[in-house]
Amino acid sequence: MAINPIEAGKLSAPQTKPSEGGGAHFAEALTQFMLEVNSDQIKAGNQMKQLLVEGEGSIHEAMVAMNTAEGSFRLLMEMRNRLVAGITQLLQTRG
Amino acid sequence: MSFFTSLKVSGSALQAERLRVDLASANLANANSTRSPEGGPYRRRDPVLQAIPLPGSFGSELSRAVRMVNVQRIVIDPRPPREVFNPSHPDADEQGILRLPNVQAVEETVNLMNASRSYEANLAAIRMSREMAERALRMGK
Repeated sequence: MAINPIEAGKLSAPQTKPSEGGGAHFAEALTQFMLEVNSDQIKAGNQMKQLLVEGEGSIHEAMVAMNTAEGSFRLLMEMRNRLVAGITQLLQTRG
Repeated sequence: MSFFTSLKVSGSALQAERLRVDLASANLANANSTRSPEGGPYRRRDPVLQAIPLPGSFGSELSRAVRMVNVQRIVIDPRPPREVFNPSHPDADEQGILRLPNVQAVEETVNLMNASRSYEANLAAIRMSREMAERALRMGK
C-alpha cells in the first residue's frame, strides 16, 4: 500500500466571501436568537404553570421544555460573555 | 442544533412510554370489568408506535435520518375473552358463563416493567446529551 505524503501545497485557507453589511446581519441573527431563547423561556414557564396550577400536561414535557430553555439560555450567556470579553480586549489595545 | 434535536427525540419517546404505562395500568385496572361502553367485557388495548421524521427537517440527509417516535393508534386485542362459570353474576349468560376481559395480569406487569425501563433509558439519553452540551460550553475555559 502506498502512503502518500501530506501535500501542504494543496491545502489552502477557507475562502470567505466578503459580506455586505455584515454587522447588521450579525445583529439581526443575534436578535433572532435572543427572541428564540425568550420564546423557549416562555414555553417552559407556560408548561410549568399548566402542570402546577391547572394540573394538566406531564412532568417530562415540562422538564424537557425547561432543559431546552436552560440550554439555549446558557448558550446565549456564553455568546454574550465572549462578545464582552472581545470588546474589552479591543478597548485595551489603545493604552 | 443537535442538543435540542436529541431533547425533542427523547421527549417524544418519554411521551410514548408514558402512554404505554397508562395503557398497561388501564388494562390491569379493568382486568375484571365485565361491562364497557362498546358492550361486553373490557378488551385490552395496545399502542402502535411509529417512527416519524422531525418536524421541519428538510435539511441534510443526516438530520432527516433522525426519527421521533409517535403513537400512531391504539389497537384492541382480538383475543377472545376469558370464560368462567359463574351463574350468580348479573352479566352471566343463560348457561351461566361469565365473560371476563382478555387481560393477563402477568403480561401487563411485564409490559409495565418494559415501559418503565425504556422510560429510564430515554432519561439516560437526555442526561447524556445534556452533559455533552455542558461540556461543549465549558470548552473555552
